[in-house]
Amino acid sequence: MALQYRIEGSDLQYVELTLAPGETAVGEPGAMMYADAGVSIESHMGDGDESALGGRLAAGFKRSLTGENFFTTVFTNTLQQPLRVSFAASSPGKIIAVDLAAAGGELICQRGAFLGGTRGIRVGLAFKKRLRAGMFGGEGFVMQRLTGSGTVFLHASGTLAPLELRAGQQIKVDTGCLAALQPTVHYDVQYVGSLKTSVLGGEGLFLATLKGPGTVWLQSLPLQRLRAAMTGVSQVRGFGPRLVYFLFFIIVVIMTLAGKM
Amino acid sequence: MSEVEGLLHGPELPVSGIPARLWFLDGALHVRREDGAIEIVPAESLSVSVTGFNENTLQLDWQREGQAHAVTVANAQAHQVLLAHAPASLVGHLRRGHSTMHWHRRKWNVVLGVVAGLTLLALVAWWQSEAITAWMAQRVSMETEVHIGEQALAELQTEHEFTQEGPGAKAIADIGARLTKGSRYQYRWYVSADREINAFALPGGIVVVNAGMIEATDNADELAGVLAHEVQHVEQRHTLQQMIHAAGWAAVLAVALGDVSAITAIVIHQLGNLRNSRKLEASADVEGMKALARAGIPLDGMVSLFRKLDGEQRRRGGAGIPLLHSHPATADRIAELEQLAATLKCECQPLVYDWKAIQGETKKWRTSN
Repeated sequence: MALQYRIEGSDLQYVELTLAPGETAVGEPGAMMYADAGVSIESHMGDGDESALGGRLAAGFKRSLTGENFFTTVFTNTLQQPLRVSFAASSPGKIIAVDLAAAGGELICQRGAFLGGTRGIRVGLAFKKRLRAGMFGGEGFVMQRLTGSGTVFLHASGTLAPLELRAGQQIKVDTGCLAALQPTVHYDVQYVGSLKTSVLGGEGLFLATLKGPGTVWLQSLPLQRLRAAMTGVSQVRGFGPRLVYFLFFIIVVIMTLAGKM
Repeated sequence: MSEVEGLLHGPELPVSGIPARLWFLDGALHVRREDGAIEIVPAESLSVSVTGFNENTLQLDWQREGQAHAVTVANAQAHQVLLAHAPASLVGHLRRGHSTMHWHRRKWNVVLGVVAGLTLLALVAWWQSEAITAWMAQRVSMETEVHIGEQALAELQTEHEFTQEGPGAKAIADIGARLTKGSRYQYRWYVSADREINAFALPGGIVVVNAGMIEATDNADELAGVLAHEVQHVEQRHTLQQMIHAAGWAAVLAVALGDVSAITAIVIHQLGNLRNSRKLEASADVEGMKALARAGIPLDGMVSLFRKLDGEQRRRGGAGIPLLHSHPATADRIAELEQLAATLKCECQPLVYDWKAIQGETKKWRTSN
C-alpha cells in the first residue's frame, strides 16, 4: 500500500504522513514536527534497516558524506488505528514526494535533499566523475543517490520545478539550481559563451547542461543565494568569476586613467 | 543470446522510457516492446551518443516521421553484447562511446592510484628509513666522504688538541693497520686531548681516540677492541648514514649530487648530536670482533673493555659515558659478544706494548694541552 501523505503550507512547508497500523516511516533527525502519541520514535544508525553493525556503520558514513545525519529516526505506528507523523522543511522552499518505483528505482539529488520516506529507502553516494561538472556544476562531486521502491520526500529551497526531458532534449541551467535528476539524465557544464557574458551576465563562467531522457527538478532559489540575499553579501560565486571581475576592474581603471573611457 | 535489455523512448511514451529488448539482425536494430510490438531500424539511420549521470549509458537515436526515438542501454555487459553484434558501420561509433565511459573510470583510477602510491611510498620511506639512508650513504663518492670527514675533523680540532705523534698514537696506528688490512679507505689515526672515555670515527677513514680512553684501558687488546668497533663505523659508512639522516632528506640529494659545501656545514654543526642506532652499534660489534679474529688479536679485550665501561657507567649514575648513550643494554651486549667470541676461531697472540708507559706519556701530553 502506498504511503498516505499530505503536503501543507505554501513556501514554508511540512508533510503529514498517515501511518497504517504497524507501518513505519523514516525521517532525518530533527525534521519531525509532531506525531500522534501512539507513534514510537527510535534512532537507528544508517538507513534504519540494516542488521549487521558493519552495514549500519557504512550506511551511516555514506549518509553523512551526502549531507545527511549519521542516524535515521524510525517512526512506527504501534496502535490498531491510523496515526499521523509530520516532517517540516528546514528552510523556505518546497517539499516534493517522488514514487521511486515509478521513477525507475533510483534518483540523484543534491546534498541534504532527503527529508524522509518509506522505510527501506537507501541514501547512497553519487560521485560525479566528470571533473569540470564536479568543480563548476554547483552541486559538488558528491550527490545523493536514493534507491528503493517506496515514496521519498525531498526538500530544496525555492520553488521546485519538475521538467521532463525527451531523449536528446537539452536545457541550460544556472549552476546550483539543480535539485534532483533521474540517473538517465546527462549532466555536464559548459562555458557561458563569451567573456562579456561571463562578467556582466551574472550567471558566472559556467552553466550546467542537462540532456534527456528523464525528469529533472530545478530549484528557483539555491540556499546560498537565499543566504546572500538575506545577509546582503555580494552574490558573485566562486573564485573564477571574482578573478575575471577583478581583472576587468583593473582594465577599466587603467583605461579611465589613460583618458580612453 | 545477442538480445539485451534497454529502455525505449519516444514522443508518445513516458519520459523515463519503457522496458524493451533490442538486438542487431541483418544490419538493422530490432526493438521489441513488452507488448510484443517490434520496431526495425536500419543501421544507417541510427546515431550513437553517451548519456546518463556519469556518462555510463549508450544511447541510439533515430527519427521516425519527424519524431525523435531512442533506446538507452545502461548495463556494461549489454554494451559488450551490442558491440559484438553491431553492423560494421556502427561499431566505430559504439566503440567511441564506450571508450568515453572507460575514460572516466581510468581517470579516477589514475588519481586514486597516484594518491595511494604516494601514501604507500611515504609509509615505506618512514618504515625503511634506515635502509634508505644506508643505500644513500653507499651512493656518496669516496672523495665526498673524505671531504666531509676532513671538515668535521677541522671543526673538532677547535675544541681539543689532536695528535698523530707520541707512543699512544703510534700504537693505535700500528694496531689499526692490522685491523684495516685490505680496506678501500686510507685511515688516519688521532689521539685527542680529551679526558672523556670516548672514541669516534669520522667519514672517510678518520678514527679519533680520546686520551681518556687510553688511560681507562688496561692493555692494548682492550684498545684494539675499541678500534675494531670504530673501524666498522667507517667501513659500513654508519656515521655518514647518521649525518644524512640528521641533515634530512633535502640534504640527501645535494650530497648524492656532489654539492657538499653547504650541506657539510649543516651536518658538522650537528656532529655532537649524532647517535648511531642500536642496530648499527650491534653490527659494528659483530663485524669488529670478526676483524679482530682475522687480525689475530685476542677477542676478550673487547669484552673486558665493555664490562669495564659498564662498571664505570654504574659508578657515574645518570650522566653516564657518551660512548654508551646509544646502547644502554650493556649486559645483553656483553653476553652476545662473549657468545660470539666463543664461536670464532682465533689463533690469537696478545698484543705486546708497554701499556703503562704509553698511558703515562699520553697523560703527560694531555695535561700539557
